Amino acid sequence: MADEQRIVYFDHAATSWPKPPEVAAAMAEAMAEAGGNPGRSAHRLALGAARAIARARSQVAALLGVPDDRNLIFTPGCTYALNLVLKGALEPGDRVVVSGVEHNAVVRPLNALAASGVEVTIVRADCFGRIDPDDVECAVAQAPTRAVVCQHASNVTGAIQPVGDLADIAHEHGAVMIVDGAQAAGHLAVDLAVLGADAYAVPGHKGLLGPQGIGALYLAPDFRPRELVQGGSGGRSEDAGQPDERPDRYEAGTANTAGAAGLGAAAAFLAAHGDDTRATEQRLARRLLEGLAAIPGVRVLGPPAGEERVPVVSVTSERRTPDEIAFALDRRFGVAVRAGLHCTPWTHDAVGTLETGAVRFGVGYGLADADVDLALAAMAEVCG
Amino acid sequence: MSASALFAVFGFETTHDALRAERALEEAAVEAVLIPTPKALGALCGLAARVPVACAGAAADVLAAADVRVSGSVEVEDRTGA
Repeated sequence: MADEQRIVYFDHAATSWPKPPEVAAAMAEAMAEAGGNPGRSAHRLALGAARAIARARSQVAALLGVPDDRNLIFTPGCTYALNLVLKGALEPGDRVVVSGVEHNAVVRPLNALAASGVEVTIVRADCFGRIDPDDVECAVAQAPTRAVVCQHASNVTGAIQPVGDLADIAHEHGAVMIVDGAQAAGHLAVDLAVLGADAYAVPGHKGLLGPQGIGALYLAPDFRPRELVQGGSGGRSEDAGQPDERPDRYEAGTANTAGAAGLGAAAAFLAAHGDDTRATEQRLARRLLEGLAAIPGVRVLGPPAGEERVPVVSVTSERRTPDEIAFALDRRFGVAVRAGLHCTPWTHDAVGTLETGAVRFGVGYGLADADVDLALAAMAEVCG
Repeated sequence: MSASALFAVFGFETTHDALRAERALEEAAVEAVLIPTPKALGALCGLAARVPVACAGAAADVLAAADVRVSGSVEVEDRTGA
C-alpha cells in the first residue's frame, strides 16, 4: 500500500502539480489586495486588479515572444481559445486542413463547424504520430483553404509537429495557421515572434505551471476572427457593438484577475528558470522512456528513442490493460498517471491504440530521478 | 493641491492602453493619475490619465512614443479637491 501522504505525480500532461510557490502567492495577493473589478472603476482596488492583469499579460507575452501584448488574449482556457479562433475565423463554405492527431478541443469544434458547412480535410499522421509537411502541402494545394490547424505537440505520443514549416505552407497558399500549443507551452521554448502562427492557443495550467481556469490566445495583428461572446468591456458603453480594439474585443465580461496573476507569476518563474526545468524534464523523460521500453511486453508509443519529443511517454502492456495499470500504480505505489484515450481518439487511431487506449506518463516540474526509478519499478511489478 | 487646478485629461481605447499610459508617463517622470473618464471624453475606456495642464504636450509625446491608443484629450478644471 502506498504512503497515504505521498504522491508521485506523472499526470503533468493533464495538469501540472505542484506549482511554483509564487503562483499561489500571486493569486492570494490579487484577491486580498486587488479585489476590485479590473477596468471598470478608478478606485484603488479596481486599479490594482487592472494592473495585476496588465502585468500578467506582459509576463506571459514576454515568455511566449509576443512583441505587442495587446495581441495576447486571456481566455478561460485553451479549449475556449481554440473555439474562439476556429468559430471566429471559419464560415460555411470555407475549407480547413487539419492534422489527423488533434485533441478533441479541435476535433469537436471542427465537427460542429462541419455541420454548418465548413469543409474539413484531415491529413493523416504516420505510425509514430508525426505529421509530414509534404502531406499538408498536398492537401492545401488541392483547393482554396482558409486555415491549416495543427497541434504543436502531442499529448499522447509526445511528437513535436513541424508547425513552423506548416505555417510557411499555409501562408504560401493564402491560408492562416492555427496552432494548439497545449502540450508545448512551457515544455518547449516557444517564440511566437518567429514561429509564424497566426493564432496560438495555450492553457495556463499545464506546462506553463499556472492555475486552472485561465489560458491565452495569441492572434497575429492582421488576423481578425470574430469574437466568440459579446458583453461588457469597461469602455465604449454607449455602443451596442463589441469594441474592435484588442484585447477588449475578445475579453467580454469580468476577467479572472487571480487566475491571470497566478499565470503571470508562473510565466515569470519560467522566464527565470525555464531552461533548467526543460532540461530536467527532457532528461527524466528519456530515462523513463528507456526504462519502460526495457520492460518485457511494454510498447512505448510515439517517436523512436533519441528523436525530440515533449516530456510525455505513453505505453501499452501485453499483460495488463491501461485502466488496470493506472489503478494499480495509484493504489499500490502512489504513482499518478492517466489511462484511456486522453481526449484524442484521432491520435490513438494513428498509432494503433484506439481499441485499447494507453497509459500516459506526463513528466514535469517537481519530479526527480528517484520518482522515475520508483515509477519504473512499479511498472515492472505491475506489468511483469 | 488647489481645488481649481487645471488639468489635461487623456482618454484611451482600452484599459490596457490606460495602464500602458500610466507606466510610460511614470517612466518619463510625468506626474499622472488615473481617474474615471470624464463625460467630456465620451464613454471610452473607464479610465483616463490626468496630468497637470503644463505637462500636456510632454505627456502627448510620451504616449505617442509608447504606442498608446489615445482617443482624445480635454482640459478639465478640477472640482474634486483630490
